[in-house]
Amino acid sequence: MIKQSQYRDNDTWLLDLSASGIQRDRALVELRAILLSGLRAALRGWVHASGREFGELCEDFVQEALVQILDKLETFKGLSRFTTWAHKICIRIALSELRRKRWQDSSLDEHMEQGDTMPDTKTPEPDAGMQSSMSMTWLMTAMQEELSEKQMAALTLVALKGVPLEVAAERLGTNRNALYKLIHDARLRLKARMARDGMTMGDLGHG
Amino acid sequence: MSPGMPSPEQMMGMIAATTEDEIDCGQAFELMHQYADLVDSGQDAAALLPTVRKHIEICKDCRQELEALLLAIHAGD
Ligand SMILES: [Zn+2]
Repeated sequence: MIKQSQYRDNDTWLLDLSASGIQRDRALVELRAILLSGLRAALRGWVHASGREFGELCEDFVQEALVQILDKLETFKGLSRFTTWAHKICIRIALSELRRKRWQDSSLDEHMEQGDTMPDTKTPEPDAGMQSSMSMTWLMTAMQEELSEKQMAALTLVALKGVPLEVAAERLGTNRNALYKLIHDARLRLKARMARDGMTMGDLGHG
Repeated sequence: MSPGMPSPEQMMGMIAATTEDEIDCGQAFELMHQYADLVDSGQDAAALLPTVRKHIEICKDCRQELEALLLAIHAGD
């Protein structure tokens, strides 16, 4: 069973947050405190977790989360603890913003320039073995022959360069979901090509 | 190349693991709180919600969000 570690159960949360006056205010104060403590723990690996700036940042995220939570209250289906659902919304807000900030200054445009959308096939990593260089050659050829320009750009940014989906989506003029689907379709095409070329994971010489 | 860049073999492993029935980030988000509570309560989340499990294996962004969510939950335990 899912344990209910907070003082309120799901029904009480929903009842109190849908109420008015002091009943709602008390629930909001409590929820804010829970979200804030959760977010501070969750963001330790993301931001330098000391000083006033970190506290203010977290409070801003929680404030925005509370607005969204109250807005979406009716969509909560009770499949988890209410607070887990609330934390989820808060974390999505925080990480989206932190990813955007983190990649804001990095020159993604350089990655997007013609001729630099992929690693150079002619100069594999000096320490890469024969196997790796063969895999690289196959990969680059397959990508060039199987993928659309948009799929190529998406796969390069997200899978090769490690750019977060939301950041890459913004650059490519799309959204996170559509970008995932675009990359999924690209992977399916490449998988079909692998099969046609008779490549198996065994050929790659590792488990 | 970027420091965290996957090797061609890792890329091909990812390609080989691709299936038609993958859920997208939006669908994963709809189930993420449920998945997190299952993990948190020691249940076999991967077996109970295999589509989410598969998605977080492939999607770094959703995996990071799940990890952060679990930390947030623990803060209140
Ligand atoms: Zn995802």
